[in-house]
Amino acid sequence: MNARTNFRPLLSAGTLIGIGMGGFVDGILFHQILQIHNMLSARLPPNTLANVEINMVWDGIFHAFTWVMTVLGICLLWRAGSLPDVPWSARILAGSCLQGWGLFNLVEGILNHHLLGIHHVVERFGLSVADGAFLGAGVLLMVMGQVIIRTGRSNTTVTHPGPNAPRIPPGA
Amino acid sequence: MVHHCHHRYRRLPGFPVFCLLLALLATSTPHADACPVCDSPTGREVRREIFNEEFGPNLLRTVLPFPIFLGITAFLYVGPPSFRRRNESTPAEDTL
Repeated sequence: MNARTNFRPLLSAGTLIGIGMGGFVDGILFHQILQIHNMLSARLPPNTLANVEINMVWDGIFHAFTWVMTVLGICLLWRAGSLPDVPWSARILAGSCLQGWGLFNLVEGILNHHLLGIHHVVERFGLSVADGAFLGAGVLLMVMGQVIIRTGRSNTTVTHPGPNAPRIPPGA
Repeated sequence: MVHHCHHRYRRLPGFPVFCLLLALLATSTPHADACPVCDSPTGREVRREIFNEEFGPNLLRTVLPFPIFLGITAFLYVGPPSFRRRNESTPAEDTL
């Protein structure tokens, strides 16, 4: 292992990007394409045009914050790319993205579906097995992410030169 | 080939006109006036139902997961306090 190998910037960048991507999967797939729930669909059932519009606004606010998470993740990734002690590992990035997606499912599922009850995965069923499956998918994604991160850590050295390294011309 | 290009060129002006007519038709229906910034009975109802006494609680419910995500990510970035103390006192070989 390299003398000073710092995995944390890459892990946190990938986790934030994964949180953002997980949020977009939820929002795009469940809220928009399948339309099986909306942000406040347990409190305001989307059975009138006004309620559909109100839910759409709150869906949009949720998407805006998800977008911010993704942008912050990209900023952290950019910064990680400029640090000389951060390994440039695709496995660690992919694993941390999966970890972030799983974290999104766990936190959002526990808070919004179970504790606050503002919506459920399949709204017409209420709190159902689908909400349990959502949490289970979160755990599975986190475990998969951890496994990939560990394999990445075990065979990773710092492979990018950092910002102050001399530039090697192509073909040299 | 020349004939094909000529054919496309001839048909092109009709398409924007068709799109314009479609857009005018869509915005002339009552449903298109239901947006939160629309000046229509439904638009006003939507605004009233968003900006009422439930706005703050609804906003809190919607964004509550995100500070938790940021907190977990910050923890991942800086590490636990014991790790930080160790990292400051001795040069680390592997910081995670």
